[in-house]
Amino acid sequence: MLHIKALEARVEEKQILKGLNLDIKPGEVHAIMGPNGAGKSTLGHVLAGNPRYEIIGGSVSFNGKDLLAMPEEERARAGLFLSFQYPVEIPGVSNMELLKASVDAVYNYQGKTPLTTGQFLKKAKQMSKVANLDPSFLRRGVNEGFSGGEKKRNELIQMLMLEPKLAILDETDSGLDIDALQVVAKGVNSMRSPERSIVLVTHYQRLLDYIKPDFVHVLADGKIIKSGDKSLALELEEKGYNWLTGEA
Amino acid sequence: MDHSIKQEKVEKQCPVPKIALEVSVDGAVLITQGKEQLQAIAPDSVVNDSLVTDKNKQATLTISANTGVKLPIFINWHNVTDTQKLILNLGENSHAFILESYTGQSQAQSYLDINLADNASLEHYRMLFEQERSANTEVLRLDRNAHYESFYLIQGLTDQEKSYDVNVKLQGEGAQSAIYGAYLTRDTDKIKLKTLTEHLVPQTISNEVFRGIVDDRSRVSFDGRILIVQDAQKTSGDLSNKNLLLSDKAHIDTRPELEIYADDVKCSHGATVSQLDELSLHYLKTRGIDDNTAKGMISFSFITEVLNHMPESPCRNRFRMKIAQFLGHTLGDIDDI
Repeated sequence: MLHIKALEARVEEKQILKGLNLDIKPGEVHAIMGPNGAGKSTLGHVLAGNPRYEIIGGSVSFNGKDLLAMPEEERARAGLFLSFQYPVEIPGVSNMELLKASVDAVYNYQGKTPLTTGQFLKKAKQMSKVANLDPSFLRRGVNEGFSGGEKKRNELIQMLMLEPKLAILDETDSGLDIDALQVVAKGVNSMRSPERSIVLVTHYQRLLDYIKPDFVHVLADGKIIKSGDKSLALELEEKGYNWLTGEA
Repeated sequence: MDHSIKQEKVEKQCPVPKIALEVSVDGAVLITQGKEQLQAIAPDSVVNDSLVTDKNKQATLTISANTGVKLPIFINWHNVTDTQKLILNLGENSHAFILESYTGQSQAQSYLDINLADNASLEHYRMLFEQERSANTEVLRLDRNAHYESFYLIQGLTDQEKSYDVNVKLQGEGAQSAIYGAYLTRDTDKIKLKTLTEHLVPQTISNEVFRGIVDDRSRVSFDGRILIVQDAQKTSGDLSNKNLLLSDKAHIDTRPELEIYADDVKCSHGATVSQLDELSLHYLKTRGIDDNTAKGMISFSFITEVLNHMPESPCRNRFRMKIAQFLGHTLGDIDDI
């Protein structure tokens, strides 16, 4: 699904990723944990193609294609989804308008039969229910005046609608209370399938109580310094990151 | 906002709003239709033969005192070939609603002279889409407690310069004016917009908000001025002009100005010129949306502030649709949620 090899990236003059390697196979759920400033969010931004980040080395292949050579929108169409830590507000453009344009573009690229208006509406309402967000939100401006939790649930609706092959959730748990966290986790779990991979970028192991990862990686100073299974997250919770980074 | 989608459906089924009276200046000929309708709505509202055309190509429409014309009066300037002047007088305590449009190959000057007597109020929607060089002047005089609110949608269509000159005179205490507008230009459009709001007496209020999207090699000049004379104490005047430049060849020249001679006033003015927000653009692209569509969405969002000032009405929806169409933004016309 995704092969990241010796990836190096910088933002402005600061190098953040310093030779990151990661392999993700279909159906796997990976958690990437690490201290603040380690480059966790950068990884998501770089994979999604945020133009602020400059790639200075390495390669990324996504389903056999050179991901870094693909324009941002094509990455999304090919099945990569990034749930933003801080989703953007676009007042005056409704969530419905965004979802429709988005679903149409992705379906068209993937050669899927386009959804009729009726099918689209039915699905949008259904996914709103899964995200526990009142369907009336669909008519409101994109994230316009939404609370932090509502924004995260709106990201979940977009993800559920687009049915990505690889979903990267950047700090989805931040700013969520326990009820909202359970809703989002349930939505994410409903998407687990042998064809779909999920990457959870998180600072805390709390999220992993609800979405059980197959692999846990520790990212520090722009590299993955340790990989393991779910027990690694518990160990981190207990010992802190300093145990691995050596900064006592 | 919740009703806007339903309203749009209504609008689609009923593309031309029902009107009380239509005044068309077609070429050099002035035509009125529906005088009887207007009289049926408010029997005494039209006086002085309602419309008088004289040799100076000047027409006068007078709405008499204490009448309210709820349906819009439609004024259409079409293929104007010469200087045309229309005088509109609203009597005391009267209310009217004007929908004004400019279409076709106008090559001349249109002049609109509006007088609001004490307590009169007017809602004025202006859709300015001329194709040729043209100049439009609007002069307004507001007496005591008169209330004027207008909404502009200006679209440049060619490289022939179009100029719009608006002069609001707040000459009665308690008079209030509000002008909200959007201009959209592309290719080699040239638009010149000049507004002057004069606070001539105390306790008058004005507000002006213009937002523009300037693309390609188009050029816009915005010159907005608020004048407060020495006697005009306890007045308030606000002026804001914000622009989104979509191309590095586009040009905007904005000059908001305050000229204040009174000392007890509350005023603000400001102008900004910005470019598309990169993060918003990136966010939309990560949803598979192409560059053009994403730019259209962000541009539409930018203009929304002007639409937010408009009350829900078929006119608002017409503005909204026109703007969306120009920016290539597909509105969600789905009301089944």
